[in-house]
Amino acid sequence: MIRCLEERSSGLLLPTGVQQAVSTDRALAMQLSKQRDVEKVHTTPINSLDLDPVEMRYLISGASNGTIAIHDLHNVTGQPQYTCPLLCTVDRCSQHAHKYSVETVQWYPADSGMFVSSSFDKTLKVWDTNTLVPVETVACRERVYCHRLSKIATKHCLIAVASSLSQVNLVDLKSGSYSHILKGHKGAVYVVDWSPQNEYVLASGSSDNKALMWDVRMAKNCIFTLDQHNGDATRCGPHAVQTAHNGAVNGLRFTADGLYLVSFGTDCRVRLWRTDNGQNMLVNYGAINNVHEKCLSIDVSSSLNPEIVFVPHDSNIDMLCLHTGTKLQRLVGHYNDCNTLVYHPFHQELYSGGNDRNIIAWLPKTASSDDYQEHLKETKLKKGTSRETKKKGANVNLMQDTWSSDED
Amino acid sequence: MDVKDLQLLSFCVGKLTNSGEPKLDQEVMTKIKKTCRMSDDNVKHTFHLLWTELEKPHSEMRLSAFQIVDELFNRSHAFRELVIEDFQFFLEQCAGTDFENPLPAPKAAAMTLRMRCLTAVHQWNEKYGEAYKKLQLGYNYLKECKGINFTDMHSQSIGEQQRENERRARQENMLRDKLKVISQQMTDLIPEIQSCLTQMDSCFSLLLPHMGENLYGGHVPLPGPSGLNKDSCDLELQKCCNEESLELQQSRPDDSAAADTVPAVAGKDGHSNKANTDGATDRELDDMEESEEREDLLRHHGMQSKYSIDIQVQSELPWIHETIDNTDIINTADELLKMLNTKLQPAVAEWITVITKTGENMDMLKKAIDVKQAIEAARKKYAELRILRVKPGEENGEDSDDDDDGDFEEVKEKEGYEADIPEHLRDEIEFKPKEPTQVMEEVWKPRIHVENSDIDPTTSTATLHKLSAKYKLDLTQAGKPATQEMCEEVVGQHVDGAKSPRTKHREENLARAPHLSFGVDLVDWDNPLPAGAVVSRRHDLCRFWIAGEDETHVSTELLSSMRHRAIPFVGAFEPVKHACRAPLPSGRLCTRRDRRICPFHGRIVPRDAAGRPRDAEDRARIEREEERRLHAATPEWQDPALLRELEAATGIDLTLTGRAKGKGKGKGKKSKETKLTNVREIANTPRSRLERKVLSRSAIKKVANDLNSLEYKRFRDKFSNQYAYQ
Repeated sequence: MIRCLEERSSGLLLPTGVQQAVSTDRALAMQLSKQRDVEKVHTTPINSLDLDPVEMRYLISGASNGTIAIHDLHNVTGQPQYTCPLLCTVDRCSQHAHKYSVETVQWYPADSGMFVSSSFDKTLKVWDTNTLVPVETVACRERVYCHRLSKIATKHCLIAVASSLSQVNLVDLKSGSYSHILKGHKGAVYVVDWSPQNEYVLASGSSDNKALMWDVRMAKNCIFTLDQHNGDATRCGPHAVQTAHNGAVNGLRFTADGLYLVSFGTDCRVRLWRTDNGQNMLVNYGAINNVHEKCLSIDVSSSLNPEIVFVPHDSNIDMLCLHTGTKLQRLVGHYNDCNTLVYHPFHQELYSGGNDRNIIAWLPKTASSDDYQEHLKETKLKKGTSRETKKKGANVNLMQDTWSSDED
Repeated sequence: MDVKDLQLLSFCVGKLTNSGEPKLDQEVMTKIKKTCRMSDDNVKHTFHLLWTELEKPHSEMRLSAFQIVDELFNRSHAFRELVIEDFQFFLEQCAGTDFENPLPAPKAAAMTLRMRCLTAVHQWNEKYGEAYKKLQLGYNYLKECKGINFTDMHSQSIGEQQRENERRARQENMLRDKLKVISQQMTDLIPEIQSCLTQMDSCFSLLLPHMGENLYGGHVPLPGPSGLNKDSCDLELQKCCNEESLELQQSRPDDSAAADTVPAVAGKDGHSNKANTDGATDRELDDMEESEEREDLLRHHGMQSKYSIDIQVQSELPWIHETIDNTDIINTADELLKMLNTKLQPAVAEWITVITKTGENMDMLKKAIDVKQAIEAARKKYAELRILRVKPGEENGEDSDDDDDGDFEEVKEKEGYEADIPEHLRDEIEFKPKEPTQVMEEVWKPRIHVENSDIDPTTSTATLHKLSAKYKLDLTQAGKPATQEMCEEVVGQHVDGAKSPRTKHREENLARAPHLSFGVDLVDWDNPLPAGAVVSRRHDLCRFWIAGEDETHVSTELLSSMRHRAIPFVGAFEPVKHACRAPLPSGRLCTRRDRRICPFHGRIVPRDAAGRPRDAEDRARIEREEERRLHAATPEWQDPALLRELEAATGIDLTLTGRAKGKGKGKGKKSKETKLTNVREIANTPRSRLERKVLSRSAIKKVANDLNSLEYKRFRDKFSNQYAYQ
């Protein structure tokens, strides 16, 4: 770090370089936060999380019983110890709520006044955040696994909807109905994602092991099919179907620069693809358990060096290096499976939700936070009476070994 | 990291977990703590050792391991970190939070393990929850997701409830299916039962007609109104009325004699009399109409009320004799009863049990019980009817009302009953009290004796006797000839007047000779050529292309098959009288009764009381075999002599546990040492053993193959001649 600052002062390093170094340090020091809690509201497994793209302040979560909740992440108290309060919730008793499991929730990219949710009750709802009433309900023919809005779109406002219908439906927010469909898959489509660079490029992953790259202006066919063997005829035969995984593809994520695509499949593999020609980069991330027959969110950090992929691995979250595939760290904290996670690129924080109904905040462990803990204890010691002091004194030793003398 | 420390740790952990004691041995525990205190690596090693112990499918082992975990958790920070990192696994193995993997047997240990684990987690959370976030999360997870109530630990957790609910739901489903089947059966069977019961009723009414019918059909004049009342009277009412002794305010000396005859009169006449008395009963009960009736009586019978008649009414129903007229009815009633007993009543009983189990469908239950009661009533009625059956064999004998009363059940009643039979009725039922033994004999004689008795003129023995009487030959010495042919032979000899000694000799030989039934081979016994040449016909039906073979060619195989006969020789079964008696490891002797070879101990040889072979040769042979087997079982490096040498040289204990000592012995000793409950023994139920056999992979495969071949065969038989036009 000192070297980095030195280089910066001598002008060898760009300002972004320092920023990158610091945020990478922070991201790698991520751990289960003792200071940050998210208020508990869900009584069923959490399926989807999203951060509002404007301020990165509001966390929206969708649960299996149809509940949608919004938390405020900004800590304005001045104390590191902070429980993110619940702002509002669409309770399952509400007449507008989804009947079945909410599979995906996503903020409208331009404004936190609107969000979109899709559910197994075969509907896609566009909500007004202020009134918590759906302004538009689009009926789908099948259960919806995933939907996505393009974050950079200026010329269209299409929602790509992945359902068990083996096609990607595009819903136009302007008209509130389907504009067109993209046919190419042979099984249920589990996941879709828009490119952050080209507003018309869309990737989709399906239970037929294929991942396709689409240009929505070209409805006739996909741009290309992602092939795990890179067209190597000896590996898959001349007439074999090009597949991205040996199992269903249920996680897709473009990197922030839009140059790469990360996919996750039920063959317990993560793959990295080039988005310009669909080449498999053949990065070995190791086996990561995945048995879910539904959309599973993975996330990629932005403006770090090296870039980090966050992948849920059973009840843990694996942090993998994007380009080398090495495992950087494992975040341990959930019980049962972790379903969804979202990375906060400004503060290098991670929020994850799982079957244990918790939303867990993962914050970087910094010297200041340790100092704060010390400070807390000290103030408590000062304030407390002599009896309490004794008690708190015991607390100080909690993290230390307490071998009794009889073992000598 | 010291290897010795690690060895010590694994030894101590193994010792504690294998002890099976509910409490830890403090000495060993102190050793573990001491070693762990030295370095965090030791703690880590202990952690891994304990985690492997927690995976064992034995609750006692897990309980011991958990106790060690608890001890260390309260002492070492490194250990806490490790435990909390894999806290979910810990909860699954110790608290049974995963409802698909419940805690293993034995059940008592599992319960204590769960309780103590939850208590410990509660304490840990209170103490360390602040410092270890994941512990706190785990505690909340147990509380909220697993529904564990930490204030009342005895209450069921959600997992257990779920298991319980699943089991209950499965049972309910089964019952519901059964109920469905039963309701179907009910709709099918109830009309059948009804028709059966109506048929039986009509049989009864034909055999023992109702009052009303009889009144109009009979000759006994009775007052009209009371007679009409009796239409609905059934047998039971009739019976209880009969039991009363009635006094009528009428008297005529002549009538008392007539009344005396009442009890014994058989058949329909008896009933009319009874009806008479019944009518009287009703009349007595009906006080209002008394005066009217008295007038009626006067009108009908010409009797004044000043007479009083004592009528003795027999309490039992009269006998019903089987005659040509009613034999069909009785047969039908018998058949119906048989059907009721064998088929319908068990079915109804099953319905009732199943419906009661479900606890619903009261109307169905009511219906079933009604049907059951109806069946019971019908059976009771039949039992009350006392029918004298004529034996079917005797029927076409000399006379239909011959002696012998056939029905065994009735015999006893009859004995108790005979005293009451008036003298003049004795010939009617042909009962001879003077020679009861003879009667009994004939009753109990099996039919097979009758077949060949001398008394029956149609049998061969009778003929023989007749002939012997004629020719004054003593046949009894030769014994009873066994077969018909032999009889004929003998008869033939007698007719020809042959000499008796030769006959006797021949007879003896014949008695010894095996008997062979007639067969194809005997036809061609002495014939060199087959009686008819087998003509084979062409199957191709082609007029032009004819094979050059002889048409009348008969295969030698066919010929030989006509000359031969396969006679399977079974021989008489001789039970095995000796046991194997080889000494068993338990100290007892082998009790297997094999004929020649015991599957476990080889050839069966005579042995003494201690189980040693009597012959020196056998002993030597068995010893040799034993040695060879031992040699084959232990690999070279396990040779006890070599091991002893090595032990002496290195000073390390190389005693092999368990298997080296022999299979049975080692296990028994181990379980005695450790106090660990043998889980396998608990699971070793007849059901599980059968399951292992029946549901084994090979058995299932075999069955599947058989079914497949059957299916294929059926298919081939049905469709082999059809061409598939595809």
